[in-house]
Amino acid sequence: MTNSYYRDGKKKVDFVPYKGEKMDTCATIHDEYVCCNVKVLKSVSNCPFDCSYCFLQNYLTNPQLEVVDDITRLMQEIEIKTTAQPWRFFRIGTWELGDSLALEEQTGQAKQLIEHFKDIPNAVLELKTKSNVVDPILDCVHHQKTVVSWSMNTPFIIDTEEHKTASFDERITAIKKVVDAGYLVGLHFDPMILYSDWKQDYLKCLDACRNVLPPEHVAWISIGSLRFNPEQKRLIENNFRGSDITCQEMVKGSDNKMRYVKPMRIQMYQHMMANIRRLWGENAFVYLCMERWDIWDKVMDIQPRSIGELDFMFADYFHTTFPTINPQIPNIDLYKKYQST
Amino acid sequence: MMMLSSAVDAFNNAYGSWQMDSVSDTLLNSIQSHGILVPISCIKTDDSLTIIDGFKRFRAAKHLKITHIPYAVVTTDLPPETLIFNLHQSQVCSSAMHKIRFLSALKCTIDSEHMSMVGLPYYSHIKKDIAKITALPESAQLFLHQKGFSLKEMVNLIHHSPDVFLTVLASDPFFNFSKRTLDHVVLSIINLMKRHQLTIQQIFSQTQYSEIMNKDITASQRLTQWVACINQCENPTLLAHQSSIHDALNKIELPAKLTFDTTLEHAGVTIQTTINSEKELSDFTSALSNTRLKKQLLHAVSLT
Ligand code: SF4
Repeated sequence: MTNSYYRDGKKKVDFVPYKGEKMDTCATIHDEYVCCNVKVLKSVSNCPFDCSYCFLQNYLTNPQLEVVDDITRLMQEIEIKTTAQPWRFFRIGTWELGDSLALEEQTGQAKQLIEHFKDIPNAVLELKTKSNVVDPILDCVHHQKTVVSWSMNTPFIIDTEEHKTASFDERITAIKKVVDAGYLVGLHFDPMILYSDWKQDYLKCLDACRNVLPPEHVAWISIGSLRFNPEQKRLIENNFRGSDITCQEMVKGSDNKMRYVKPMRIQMYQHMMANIRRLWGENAFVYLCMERWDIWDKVMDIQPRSIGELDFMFADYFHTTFPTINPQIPNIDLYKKYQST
Repeated sequence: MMMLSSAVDAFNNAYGSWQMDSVSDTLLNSIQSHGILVPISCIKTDDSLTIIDGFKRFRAAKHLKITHIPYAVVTTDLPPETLIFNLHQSQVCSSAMHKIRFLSALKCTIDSEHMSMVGLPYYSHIKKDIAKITALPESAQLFLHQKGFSLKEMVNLIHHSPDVFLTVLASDPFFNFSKRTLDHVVLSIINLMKRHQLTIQQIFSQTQYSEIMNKDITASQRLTQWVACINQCENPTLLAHQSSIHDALNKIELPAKLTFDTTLEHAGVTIQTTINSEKELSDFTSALSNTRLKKQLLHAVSLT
């Protein structure tokens, strides 16, 4: 209720000029929870979709749906920043404050970014979406320097909580299309949400993804679970009266976010991890989003000890698995030393 | 303005029906001794005198069975809601409940203009929310007014089911809820109902409501016991883990205090001790190097 008109802002897109710096580190960064150190390009603000758990309800001070229309200036900023740290392999996403592809038919922004990113030697662009708007980017020359990724959930959660987004089947069809167009794909099973049939439903969800996504097209897979701060809990309950997502057993972490109690999270992640490995093999790069170090120890087969180390692991994985995308041998010392830059 | 007097029945107090505060004894005594010294202000509507100021004096007069009341007629172009709001702003704004009752008594359209006049947010479900709040029984509205619930807090209490709020509130004489405890109890019960698809009666039975209510103890003791039962139902995994960690720690014989983060978010066991002498130091270090104790400690750590 703090932002009385948060839905009204979603109705119409405003094109706005480039102002201030747009590239930054993901806002969720916190000492006690491992962040993957992805960089974000705030080229879109707000989103036409209406997910019950969306943090934008509580985050945006200006709810107007806006798209930066000056790609040249955006790209200049990216080029300056990627050139300043030539040793780093950047992952840059446009999804921090919205959906990377939902508005593509109106804006053409992703298409232009893809075409610029193909020539940046030390970066990949991540377009993360809950839409199935992929047709406008299928013909782009991308050189696999763009990862198209989906925030995936079970059909039940998509239908009940991710309002106005593409259905599960539509997302699966869209994944197939971008795989056929040669793109690498990212999957984000985040936020995983508990409900009575979660276990079998997430399993079916993984199986369906595997049917269209072969291991050689996987850029990364992330797992995370529902989290929100206490103020957002009340907003969810008010804005989405039919939603039951806030009623499970949760605790507040030191980042002031409510999460499922840890033993439950571990059980959920172990279930996902075991099946991801079964379906995509040992090589696929899997990580946890905003989780504690000790959960990594209990669930994952890699245990980064700092944000810099995880960032390095991404670079190393790309260098080993997709050497044409990241030809440079990453230097772990630099990743650790400059982890907070 | 001309001062007149009229029979009580000639007045319409509809615009004052939002007021929930009772008429004070001081006012009653004063009117009983001296009558109504300051005439009440009215506007003339078709068939009656509608009170715009002096609501409490009018209620006091009725209570004291006074038959005739002095009044003055105000002529103004202002709409009644603006007029009355300006005259009674501090009282209207004394609680969100008063604000809502004011809008409803004055039959204001629920739009952004009226909401902003009384300082309430305007959002998509506001009309439904206000309708639900004004449909609550007077006693419930009075509780919400007296405890100073904000609109957001009231909506949270009732949007899932006003019945839960009303049922819990009905047991107020046994538990003597504060604003915070009522809010906690109602929201926890709603959570449990949603989580397990149970009825309120089933949740009451799981949380030993009747047993606790019938105990011969104070309201505050009853409340403490009920809240503890509710918490147990709400956090089964957390409590089960806490208890197995406590069990594991209790087995460890170390001259130190062993604690852990009860939210389970931070892993590990904290060992806290004060060393005052060489002997205490050597007792502590030799206890720590005991293989059995090490195993026990690592087991406890693995549970966190
Ligand atoms: S798709 Fe993302 S940004 Fe859009 S409403 Fe859903 S959670 Fe929010």
